[in-house]
Amino acid sequence: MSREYLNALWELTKRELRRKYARSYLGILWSVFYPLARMALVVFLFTHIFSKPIDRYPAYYFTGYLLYEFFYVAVYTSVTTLRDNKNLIIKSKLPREMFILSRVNTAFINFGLGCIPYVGVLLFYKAQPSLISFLVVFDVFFLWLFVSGVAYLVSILYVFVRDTKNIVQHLLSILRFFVAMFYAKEWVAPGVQKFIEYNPPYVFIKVARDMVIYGVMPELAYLLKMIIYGISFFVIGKFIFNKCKDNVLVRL
Amino acid sequence: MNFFKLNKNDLFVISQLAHKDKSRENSSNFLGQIWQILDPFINTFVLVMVFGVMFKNKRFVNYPVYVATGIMFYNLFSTGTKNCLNALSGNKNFLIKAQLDKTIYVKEKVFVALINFGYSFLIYLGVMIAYRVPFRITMLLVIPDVLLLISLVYGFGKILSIVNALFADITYFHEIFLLFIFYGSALFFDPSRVAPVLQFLLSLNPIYLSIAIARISIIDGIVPPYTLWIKLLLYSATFYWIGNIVFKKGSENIVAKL
Repeated sequence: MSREYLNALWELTKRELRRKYARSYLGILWSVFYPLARMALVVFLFTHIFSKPIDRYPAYYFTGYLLYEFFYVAVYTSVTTLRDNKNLIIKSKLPREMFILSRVNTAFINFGLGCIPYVGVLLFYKAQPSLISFLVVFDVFFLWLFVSGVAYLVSILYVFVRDTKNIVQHLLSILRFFVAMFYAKEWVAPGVQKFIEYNPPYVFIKVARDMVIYGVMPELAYLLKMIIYGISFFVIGKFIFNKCKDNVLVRL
Repeated sequence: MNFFKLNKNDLFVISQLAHKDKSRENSSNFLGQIWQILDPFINTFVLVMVFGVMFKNKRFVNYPVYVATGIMFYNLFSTGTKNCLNALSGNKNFLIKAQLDKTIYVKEKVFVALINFGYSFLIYLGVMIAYRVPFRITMLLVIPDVLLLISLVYGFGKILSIVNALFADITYFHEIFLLFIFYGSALFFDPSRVAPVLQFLLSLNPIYLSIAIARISIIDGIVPPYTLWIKLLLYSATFYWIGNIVFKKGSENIVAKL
């Protein structure tokens, strides 16, 4: 990756960020406060509903929420990228995947800002980090690969099938319930448990929870899944994107 | 219909605006609307799958129908109010060029939500049959229930459309608020299981009130207690009234502020 490439990517990302908060007063501060407000709300509502407690529930929920939200925002906003940037794609010689990555990175910055209150919550609820916690950067890295791969796929699919937007939106809101965000995986029916275990976003969430909140090494199976999902989705996504990206112009 | 002061011309404008909205949202109209109609049942299915075991409870005679009823009413509220957010700010050009009564933009958004609710209700009847909930005469009480909720949505939507034109951050607040309503309307759990404070809050939540009325009259097949009706009526009337005032004052030179 050359310097010009990274520069252009950064400019595109800044443009996305500006657009996102164009009409808002609080602007980028929302990315910090919104996750915190959401956590407070869920904790307030759910602490009493479940008969069994979850260890350090606020941190537990916050981890799941932040990672899932990164996935959600990145994929959801990527769907229409190619059409939204139609003019720029036609006129400039920028590589087309850059537009997708700029949306993924916008979501990533959003995620990064959400991590500020997250650290506070970890401290407040006395999470037990250890040296293992630093390994979470790998988890985030593979999540980024996974998310980018999915973003490539949906953005191309949208050019061919316009209903992709609806379908993706619904799938994302369905998957949200299968990542054990605010409940424990063990509480659901065995069949559903199996499904959650293989649900990619859950894998990243589980690994992050184990490492950051409880300071332990996740089971090997999860680590393997994390690597496999990250790499395979990225490779497949990028491959298909590169194959189709020249056909898209006529269809936009 | 006179309650909303609609005549034939208004209905025509509404249907045209609704059509415009639909074709903007989904390039293939048909599938897009199908999604919206199916949405409550997809959600129900997911919630039942995830929480069916967790909240297994003797009090839940019919968990899937219990959840579906809640989701349907929640969806009516959430899509209705969410649509209203953009009633004015999304129709800027119309506001400048057309000399229409401005409330029509809000009415149109509520109307679309209501139509989708109507279609969803047909599927809901199927769900009732599948889970052997008998059709009883008390079911008809859903009609006044929906009307009350709709006038609440209409009043609330009017306020939202004005506020959104002046203060765009309301979208974020509304999102948090909807989340609060989603979790705070006992859609998928038994209200008697939550902390007493929350139970009290729940009894103040108009969405929950409308859901409770629907559940009692459909699943239990009895006439819901009048206290529920009175509370809901008070909410609807208040919101309808406040919405009117806010909208009248706020929409005067709204074009300049957009």
